[in-house]
Amino acid sequence: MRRKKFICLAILVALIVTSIIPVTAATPYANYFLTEDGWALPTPAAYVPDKIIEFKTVEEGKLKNPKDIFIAENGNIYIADSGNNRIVVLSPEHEFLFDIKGEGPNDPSTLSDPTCVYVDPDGTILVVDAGNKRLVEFTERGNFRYSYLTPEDELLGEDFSYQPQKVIKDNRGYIYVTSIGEYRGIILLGPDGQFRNFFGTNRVILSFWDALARLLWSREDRKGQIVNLPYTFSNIYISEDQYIYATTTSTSAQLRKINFAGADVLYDGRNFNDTSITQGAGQSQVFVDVTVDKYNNMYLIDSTYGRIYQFDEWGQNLFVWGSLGTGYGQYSQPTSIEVDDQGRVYVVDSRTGVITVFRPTEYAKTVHSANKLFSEGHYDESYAQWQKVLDQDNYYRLALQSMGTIHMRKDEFKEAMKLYYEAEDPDLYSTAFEEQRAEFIKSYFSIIATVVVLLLIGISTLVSVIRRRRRRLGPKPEKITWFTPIKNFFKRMVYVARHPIDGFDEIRYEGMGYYGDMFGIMILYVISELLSIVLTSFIYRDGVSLDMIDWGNRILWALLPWIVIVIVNYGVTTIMYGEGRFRDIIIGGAFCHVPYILTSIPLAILTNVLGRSEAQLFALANTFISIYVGLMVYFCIKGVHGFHPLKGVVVTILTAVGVTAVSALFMIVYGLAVQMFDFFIQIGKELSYIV
Amino acid sequence: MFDRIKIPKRLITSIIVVLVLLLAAYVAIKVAFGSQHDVKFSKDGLNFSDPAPAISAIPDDAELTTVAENSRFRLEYSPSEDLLVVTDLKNGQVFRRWPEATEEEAKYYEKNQNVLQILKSIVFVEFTKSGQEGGTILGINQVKHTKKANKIDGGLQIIYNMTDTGIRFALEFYIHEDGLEVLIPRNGIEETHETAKLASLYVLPYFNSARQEDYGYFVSPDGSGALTRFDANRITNYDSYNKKIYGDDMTFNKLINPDFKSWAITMPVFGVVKENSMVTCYIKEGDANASLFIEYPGNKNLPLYSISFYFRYRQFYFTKLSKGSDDYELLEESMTLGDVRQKFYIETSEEKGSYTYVDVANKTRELLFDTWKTKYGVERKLADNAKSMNIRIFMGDENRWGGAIDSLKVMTTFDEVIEMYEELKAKGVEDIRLSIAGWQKDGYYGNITKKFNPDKEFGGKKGFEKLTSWAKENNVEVSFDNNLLLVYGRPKASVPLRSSVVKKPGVHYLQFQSITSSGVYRRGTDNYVLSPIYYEKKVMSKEIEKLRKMGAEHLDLQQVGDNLFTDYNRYTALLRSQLADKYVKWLKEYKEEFDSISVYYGNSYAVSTADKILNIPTVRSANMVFDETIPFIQIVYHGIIDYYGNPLNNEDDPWEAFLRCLEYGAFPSYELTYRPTGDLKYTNYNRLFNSQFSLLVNDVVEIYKISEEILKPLRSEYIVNHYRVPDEGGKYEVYVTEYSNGTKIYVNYGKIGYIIPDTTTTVDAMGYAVVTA
Repeated sequence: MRRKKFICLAILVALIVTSIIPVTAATPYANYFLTEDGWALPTPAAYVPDKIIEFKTVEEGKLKNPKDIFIAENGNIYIADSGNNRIVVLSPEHEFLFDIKGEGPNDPSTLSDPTCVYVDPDGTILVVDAGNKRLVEFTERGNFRYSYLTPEDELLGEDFSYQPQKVIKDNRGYIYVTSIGEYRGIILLGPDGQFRNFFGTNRVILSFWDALARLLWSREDRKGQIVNLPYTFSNIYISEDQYIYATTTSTSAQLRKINFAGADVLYDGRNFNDTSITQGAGQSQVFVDVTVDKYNNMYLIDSTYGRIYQFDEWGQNLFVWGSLGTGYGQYSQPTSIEVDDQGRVYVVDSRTGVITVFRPTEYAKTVHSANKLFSEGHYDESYAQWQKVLDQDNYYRLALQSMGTIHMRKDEFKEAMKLYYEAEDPDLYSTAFEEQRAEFIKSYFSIIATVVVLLLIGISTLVSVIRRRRRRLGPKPEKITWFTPIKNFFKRMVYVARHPIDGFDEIRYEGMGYYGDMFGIMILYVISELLSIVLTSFIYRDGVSLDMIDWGNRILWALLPWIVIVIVNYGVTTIMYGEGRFRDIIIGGAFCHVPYILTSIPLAILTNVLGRSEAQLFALANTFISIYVGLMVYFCIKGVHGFHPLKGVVVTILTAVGVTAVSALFMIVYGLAVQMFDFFIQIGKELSYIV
Repeated sequence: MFDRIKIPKRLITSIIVVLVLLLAAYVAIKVAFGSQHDVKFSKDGLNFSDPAPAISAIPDDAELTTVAENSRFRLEYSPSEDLLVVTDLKNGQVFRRWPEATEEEAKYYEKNQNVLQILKSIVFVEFTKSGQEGGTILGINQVKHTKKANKIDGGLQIIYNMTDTGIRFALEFYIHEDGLEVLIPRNGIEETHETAKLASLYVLPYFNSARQEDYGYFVSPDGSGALTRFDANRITNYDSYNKKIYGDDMTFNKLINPDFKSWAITMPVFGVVKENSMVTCYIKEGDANASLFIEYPGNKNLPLYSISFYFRYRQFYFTKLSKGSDDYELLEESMTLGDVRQKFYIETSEEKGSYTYVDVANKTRELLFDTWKTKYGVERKLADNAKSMNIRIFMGDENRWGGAIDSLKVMTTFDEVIEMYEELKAKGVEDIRLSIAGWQKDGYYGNITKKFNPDKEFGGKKGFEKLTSWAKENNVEVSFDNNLLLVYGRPKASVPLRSSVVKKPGVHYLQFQSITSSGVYRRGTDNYVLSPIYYEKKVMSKEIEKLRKMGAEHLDLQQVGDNLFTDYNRYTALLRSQLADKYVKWLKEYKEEFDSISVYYGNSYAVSTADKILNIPTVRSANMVFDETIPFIQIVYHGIIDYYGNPLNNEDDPWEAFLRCLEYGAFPSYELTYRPTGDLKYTNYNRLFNSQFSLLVNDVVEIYKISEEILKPLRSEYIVNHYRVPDEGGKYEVYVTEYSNGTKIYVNYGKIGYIIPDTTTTVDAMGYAVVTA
C-alpha cells in the first residue's frame, strides 16, 4: 500500500497511458516455428516488442489484474480491468477514451470483477460481470442498456451453478457464454437472452486404464469410481467468418474450432503441447486465450512458458515467440491476447497490469502476404513472396511446401519433388513423385515395355538352357573351395526358411545347428536392417531424415528381441519339459530372422518406385513376412523342443506373455536400481557436508 | 588393582575394526565427494590491506564536519545525519550521499521512517545469520550496529560493527584532485560470530542520485551501452537492475531458463550525467566480484534514481542432494575478494548539459589505459592494419543423434574455404579476414580434449596445412576459432574428471547445457568445463605447438573475452579475478607465437592485449530500466582496437544491423557455409537460418564495398561525438557519429528521409550518409 502510494508521489506526470518504444534491444525470446512433427527450427524474429501500455494517473489508476482485451471493428481497444471493476476503452492509437465502472451499488452499470468484454460491429458492448453473475450490455458510449441474469431452463438442471467467465456473440445475435465448471459445453443464449442449448460439448478423454476398466466391468461394478467428465472451456473467440475458437482445460485437446452446428472443423483432438520445450522435466502448457487476425491466422498463448503460437487458417504453425520475464517484450502472467488491424499483437499481463504490444517484422509480413496470395490462388505473386522468405530463412517449411505446390500446378514435378524433399514432407513429395513417375512411364513406355519383355524372355531362356544342360550332364561333382562353406551357409539359411518344420527338427536332432550360422545370420540381419533404412525411399521412411536416425539404437533394437525371446523361451520350456538346449534355441531363433534378411532389402529398393497410393501393397508384403516369421517362431519352438503341435502353440503364447512380463520387470528393476544408486550418492553427499 | 579389570580381546579387536572402517568411510567420502572446505584459493592478484590508522575520532553527534580538503574538493561528513558531502571548490557544486528532501518528500519521510533509514544508509549489507538461510539485504541503518568515524590521512574512515551478527567492516573515503575514492580494506572485515557471514556490500547506494525532474541520465556499459534517462516515462512495477561485471559466473548459475534478454557488462564503470556535472565511477580493485545495481523511482519506495556497484565477498549457489531433489541455496564458505577500491571521478561546469555519455566514454578510455598499464604492463596500440570485413566460415557439427555411423555434417571443407575466397576475390572482395570455426575433430561441438587433428571430413591435417600455406602465399588473414575450455561431452579417458574440470562449490562438477531452438536448455546433455589451471599446465603449450606446426598464424580465442567463472575444484581452484589475470597472461603467450589474436565480445581485461574484438555487442539488454542503446563501448574502443559486429546474416534484419555497424563504427561480419544451411537443422549448431555462400555472395560484396569505403579509413580515429538529431515529435530517427578527423556518419532508421541541416544531402529512410570535414 505504502509502495503504491509512493509510486504515485514519485510519478506526477499526468499521462493517462504510457507508451514506451524500446530502441534496439534484441528480442528477449527465441524465435522459431514448429514442424508437423513438433521439431523447433529457428527463424528470424517474426514479432518484436513495439510498445508497453501502462496506466499511471492517480485518477484512473493502473490496471489491476486485467483479464481480457478486445479490439472492436473500429479499432477501439476494450480492456476488462477486473481488479478495478471497470472496462477501459482506448483509441486505436492507445489514447484513453473512457471507462465504464458505474456509480455505486444501486447503479446497474456498476461492475464486479468483469472478466470479459465483447463488442458488436454496431458498437454494443457486452461484459461478463462475473462478481454479479450476469452479462451486461452497454451502448457504444458505455451507457447501461440491459442485464442478462442467470439463464433458466429445465435442461440446465436443478444443480446448475452459473459462473460466467467469457462471452462472445455471433452475427445472428446468439450469445455464447462459458461458465466455470460447466462441462456440458458453452451456454448458448438466444438473442432474447433465453437459454437455448449447450454448444460444442467436449468429449470425455479416457485413459488406457479407464477404457480397460469400462471394457472389463459393468456400469454397476464401476459405481463409486471417479466419474470422468468432459473438459470445460477456458476462453472463446469468434472470428469474422463466424467460427468459434475455444480453449479448453484439457492438457491434450487444448483448442477447438467450432462451426455453427457445434462440430469441430479443424483441431479436433489435436495436441498443441510444444514438445520442444515440455519434453523431459518440463511442465505442461496451459493455453489461456486465442484470437484470430484478418488473414484468419490464429494466435494461441500459453501461460506456463509465455509462448505465443501463430497458425495459419489450415492449422500450420507459422511462428512461435514470447517468454515470461520482466524485460521489454516479456510478461509474467499472460491472461489474454488480441490482434489489431495492423497485425500488432497485444498481450495482457494480469500480474503487472501492463499490456505488451508486438509488431510484425517485414519477414513476418512477407510470410503472411505470401500465404494469403497462395490461398487466394495468386500463385505467381505468391511464389515471388515465398522466394523472399527463403532468402531470409533457407528452410522455412511452409515456403518450400507452397513453392512446391505452385510447381505442381505447372506440371513441374521434378522441381516440386525437390522442394517437397527439402520441406521433408513425404505426402506432398509422394504426389509429385507419382505424377513424375506417370510422366516418365508415359514418355518411355515403349522402351520400358521392350526392356521388360526382353528381360523376361532372356531370363526364361537362360533358365531353360541351364535346366536342359543339367539334365544332359547330370549333377556336377562339387569342388571344395574357400567359397563352399559360405555357399553351404546360405543353402542352410534358405533351406530352413523354406522348410521350417524339417529345418528346425534337423537343427535339434541332426546336428544342423552351428554357432557360426547363428552369428552369420544375425550379422546379416543387422546389416539388412540398417541397409533397408538407407535404401527405403524418402516417402516410405515417412520423411524422416537419415540424419535423425540413431543407428546405435537401431542395432540394439534389432538384437534385443531375439535375446529376450530366447532367454524367456529357455525358461518356459525348462518348466514345460522342452527337449531343446539353449544352444538349439538361440541358433533356431537366429534362423527365424531369415525371411527378413531375404526380403527387407528388395522391399526397401522397391519402395523407390512406389508412391503413397501403393502403400497398401507394401504393407501387405510386410504383413505377409511378419506372419511367416511368426510361423517360423512357432515351428522353431515346436521343432527344437519336440513338442506336440498344440503344446507348441501353448508354449509360444507363454513365451510371448513371458517376454511382456520380463520387459515390465526390467523396467521396474532398472527404475529401482537408479533410485537406489541415487539414494547412496545422496547419503554420501550428506555425509560429506557433515564430515 | 588394575589386574582385576580384564578387557576382552574381542572388544579391542572390534573397536579397532570399527575405527578402521570409520576412517576408511571418511577417506572414501572425502575422495569420492570432497567438499568446499577442502578448497583453498591462492591470494594471487588480491590485496589485503589493513584499515588506515586514525588521526582523530569524529564525535557521533557532530554536525557536518570537514574531514579532508584539497585544492579542488572538500569532503565533509556528519555522523548524526549519515551524510557525506563532496563540494567542488571551483564552482561550489555539491555532491551529496543522499539528496536533500523536498518539502513533499520530507513529509513522506516523516511518516515513513523506515524508508528514510534506507536512504540514509551509507552502505547496504547482505548477510546470513546462520550461514544457511538465504541472504538478507538491509541498509546499515536498518540493523543494530555501532559505528566509529575517524579522520584519516586524506579522508574519512567509518568502522561499522553489526552487533547482532558480529560482522565488522571499515569503509574509507579519500578525496583526490579528481574525485572521491572509496576503499574497503579486506583486513578491516571481521566475522566474530561463528555462523553469521557477510555476503555483499553495496557502497554509497544513493550518492549523486537523481529525481525524475532532473536533467540527465545514467550511463551503463550493458551490451554496447545503455542510458537510463531521468525524465523518461517509466513502467513502475518492475525490479531493479542487477548484473555482474564481465558476465554471469557459470559456477553459480542455477541454469533454469536461458536468459534471452540479457547482454553482459564488459567494463567496471558507470557514469552519471546530471545537470552540469559528470561523475564516472570506476572500479580499481574488486571488479571481477562486482555487480552494477540500478534502481528507479518506486524501488524501495524511494522517489529516486540511483546507481552503484556492490561487491560480493561470498556468493550464493544452488545445489541438490540427488537428481530428483529440489535445489537449495547455500553460501560460499570463505570470502573470495580482497580489497575493494572504486573511485568517483567528478567533473563540473557552469553550463547545464555540458557533458554527455561521450565524455564518460572518453574518461573510461583514459582509466582503462591506466589499468592496463599498471595491472598488466600493457600499452594498448592500434594494429597497423585491419581487414574491412570478418567472414566466419562454419565447417560443421555433429548431428544430435550419433551412433554407429559418423554423424558429422560437413558444411564447408578446407578446399571450399579457398574456393569461396577466390570467388569473392574475383568480385573485388579481397581485404577480408576469414575466421574458420568448427574445424576440429567432430566439428564445432567436438570434444576439445580430442580436438586435434582437424576432422578428416573437412580435409584433415593436410587440408588445414594446405589452407594455411595458401593463406601465407596469398597474404590472406585466415584465423582459426579455438575453444579453450568448454568440453562438449565428457573429457576423454586420459583427462581425469577429478583434477581437470571445473567444480561448483560443494560436490558437483560444473555441467552446462546447450540451448535449443525453442529457447530452453537441452536436457540430458553432459558438458563440462576444463579447469583453467589444468589447461595452462597440460594443454596450452601443446596446443600452441600443434597449431604453429600446422601453420596457423591467427587465432580467435573463445572464453578469453567473454566467459569468466570460478573454479571450485580443489586441485585447480581459481577465482574469477585470477582467471581474468590468467586470460591476459595467456593472451600474451599466444601473441608471442601468432601474428594476431582476437577475442569475442570484449571484456575490458582481454581488450588490453587482444588485437581484435569479434561479435562486439551492438544492442543492450531488454531491462525496463534502460531507455536508449548507445555505442558506449564502441566510443571507448574506436581508434584503439579494431572490432567487428555480429554476423549480419544471423540478424533479424540484416540491413538494419549493418546500419548499426555503420553508426557504431564496427566492421561488418558474415557467417557462411558452403553447403545448404538446412543441413544443420538437426545439429546442436542449429542457430543459422541463412548462411549458404552462393545465396549470400552478392550481399557480402555490397556490404564489403561500403565498409571498405567508409569504415576502413576511420579505423584509427576516435569517436568524438554521438547523438540523435532532434526528432521533431518522433518524425526522425537519425543518429550521428562524429570522428576526430571531422567525418560525420548519419544513419537514418526512420521511415522518412532526413535533410542534413545547412546541406543539400538527404539521408534516405533506412539509409546513411557520410559528411567529410
